[in-house]
Amino acid sequence: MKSDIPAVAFWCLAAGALAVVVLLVRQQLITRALRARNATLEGRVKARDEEVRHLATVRLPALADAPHQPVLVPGLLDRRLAGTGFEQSLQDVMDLLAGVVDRAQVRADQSAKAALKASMRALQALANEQQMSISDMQDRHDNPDVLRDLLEIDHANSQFGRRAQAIAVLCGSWPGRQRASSPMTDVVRGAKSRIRDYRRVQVRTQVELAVVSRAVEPVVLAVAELLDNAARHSQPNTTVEVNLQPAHNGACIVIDDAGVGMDGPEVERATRVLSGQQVLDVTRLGDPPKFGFPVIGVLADRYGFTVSVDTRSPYGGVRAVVFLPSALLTQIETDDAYAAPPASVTPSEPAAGALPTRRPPSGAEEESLREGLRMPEPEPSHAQPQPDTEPEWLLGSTTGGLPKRRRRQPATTQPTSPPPAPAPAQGRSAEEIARRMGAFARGTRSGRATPDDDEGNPL
Amino acid sequence: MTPPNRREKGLVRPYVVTDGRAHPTRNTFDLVTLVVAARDRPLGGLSPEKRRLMQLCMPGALSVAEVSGHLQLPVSVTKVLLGDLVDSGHIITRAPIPKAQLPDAQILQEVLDGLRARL
Amino acid sequence: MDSALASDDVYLRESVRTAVKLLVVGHFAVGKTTFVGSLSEIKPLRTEETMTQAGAFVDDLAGIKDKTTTTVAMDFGRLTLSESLVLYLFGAPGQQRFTRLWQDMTRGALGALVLADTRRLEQSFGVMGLLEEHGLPYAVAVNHFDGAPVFPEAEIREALDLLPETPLVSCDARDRATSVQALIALVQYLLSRTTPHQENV
Repeated sequence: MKSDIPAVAFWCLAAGALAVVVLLVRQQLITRALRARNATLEGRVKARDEEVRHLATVRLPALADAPHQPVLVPGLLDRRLAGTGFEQSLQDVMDLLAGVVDRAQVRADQSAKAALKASMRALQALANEQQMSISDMQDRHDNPDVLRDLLEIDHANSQFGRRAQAIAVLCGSWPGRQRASSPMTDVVRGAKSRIRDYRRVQVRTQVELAVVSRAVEPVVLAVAELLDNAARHSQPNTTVEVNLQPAHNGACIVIDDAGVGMDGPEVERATRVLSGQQVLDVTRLGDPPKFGFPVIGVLADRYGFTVSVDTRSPYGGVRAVVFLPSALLTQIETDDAYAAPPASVTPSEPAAGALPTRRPPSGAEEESLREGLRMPEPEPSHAQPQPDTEPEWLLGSTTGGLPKRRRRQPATTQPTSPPPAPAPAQGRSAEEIARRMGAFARGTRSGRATPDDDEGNPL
Repeated sequence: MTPPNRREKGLVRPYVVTDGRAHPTRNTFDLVTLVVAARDRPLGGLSPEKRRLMQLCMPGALSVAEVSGHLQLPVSVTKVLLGDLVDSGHIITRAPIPKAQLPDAQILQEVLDGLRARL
Repeated sequence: MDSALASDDVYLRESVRTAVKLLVVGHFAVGKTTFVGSLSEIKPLRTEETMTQAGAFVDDLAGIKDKTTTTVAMDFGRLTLSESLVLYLFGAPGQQRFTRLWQDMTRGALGALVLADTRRLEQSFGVMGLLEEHGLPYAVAVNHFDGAPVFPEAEIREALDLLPETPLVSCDARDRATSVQALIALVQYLLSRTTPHQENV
């Protein structure tokens, strides 16, 4: 029996050892599995870290730069994450940002447009006001030297006005002026009037068609941009040729330059812009801003004409064709353009219309002087020129109350009459009276002054 | 106030009308210089304003001031166009009394008689 | 050719060879346009026109329309006086700031008729001074406005400091006859001055 004891012990030990081995192996397996899982998890965490970094450094900035062009925004770094909830979360972040960027950009564009529009319209109004003054002066002065200067100012002002007008149109404004329907020739020459190199523009043909009133200004503006473009992109010694052609269902204005022309991609880009279909972002016109073609696109789209630049001109440069559909055309009024215009205003009729209120002159001295003087009648129009009263010519008044003056001498050397003796009036010295009358005249003048009287002429 | 047949005055600027020139080729025009169109000259190649001027002056004589008024162009611009047209033989002028000359008694008498006849 | 253009009231007679001009001057609303209009055989033409609505803004660009009335027009009229002689009348604005224009207009003018309004006589002073400076002989016609006070001639002469020989007449610019009378007074005066050494226009 004694010999059984060791055997029992052996088997016990063996069994124990086996158990331990089994346990160890199992433990080993478990550990290995855990390690592997750990590694996988670690990898995934790292991948997500990378993915988040990728999101922050690459994908979101790309999105911020080009919110409307999703193709340009890179996708996931690690394709294994595709379809996971993690990817969805990242996409949510992307979408959120895209929305924010979009809204911010629209807001920025809107406020930029609003600010630009308001400023440009103010400038446009000034340019127009100035043009009227220049026209008035051109009419008034019959002198070549004066005319020469006025033509230069007029030319500069027209270009200035066009620039302001173009930017205002880009920002959603109307072209600004209502004009009478005008012959196509005049429309093109009106456009020619607004560019720097107008003398290089030759209008070769005439057609007996006119542009309808509402389209005159838009077409003038669009053609002006095309002419300017043509003149800028060709040698100064070449001409820009304009031909007018009747066409099926409309008429064409064909503008040929002898410049360098445009290559394929340029033509493609220009065509896209000229269609007016492209969304315009005024904050991205470049520096210097290129608004010529975008303006044409906006006008063409809005008024229903088309502009193409996809043919070469016979002179090697660009041929731009403006097609005006019949809806924008009308017949030239064949009546005499030189019939006497009706005398519209007859300022000579004694004033009977609405009379503006006039502030009486103030000051005791002037009041006392007013007693001896008939007050001038209130003026019939609020915007008439200043009455011409030279204070120093006033010399008191006659017994019947008429104001008196002193005769003048010719500016030339030979007087036609002996100089009149200055007549002191009513005990006061002539100078003193003249001075007081001057004060009076200033008073009445400032009383008559209206906001429109901005000539600022010291009389 | 604006009849439909009115030309758009501000559209084509005067420097385009005169091709940038302010000085007439000749300095012989006064407001009352009388001008008349030569009937035998072709109108082809003339600018729209010159053509209108020719059409205006074809039926009879007018003063420079009247031409300017009918065409709705400034007097000074009208004179530039007239200068060209006289040069090219399209327009014939009848000179007014020369500037420096004294209004002679005979003309004044004629004016006076004419006015009296109108009473 | 347009029929209106061919009519005789637009064009001068074939026989007309000489054109002379007289200025009709005066301040705003004194009656120049009416005066020229009642004498002229042609519709009053203006060498200058205000820009009308056609050129004005359609939208809210404020401040433009008000500007359209500021223009001072130079109107003129025409009287054919004989087979060979035509007289042009130019209405010239009286404002001092048109001095430059004056130099162009007085060139070649025989003389000027100053229209005056006794209710605002002082507004004629500037224009009379200009005429005197230019050495252009003139006559004064007081345009009679309804309801305006009437002054003795001597008093108006005193107020205007007229030379004894300067004609002073009264007229109604709306009335052709009195307007012609005023021109006659002017031309008679001009005729009386035609001794060569006096003139330096």
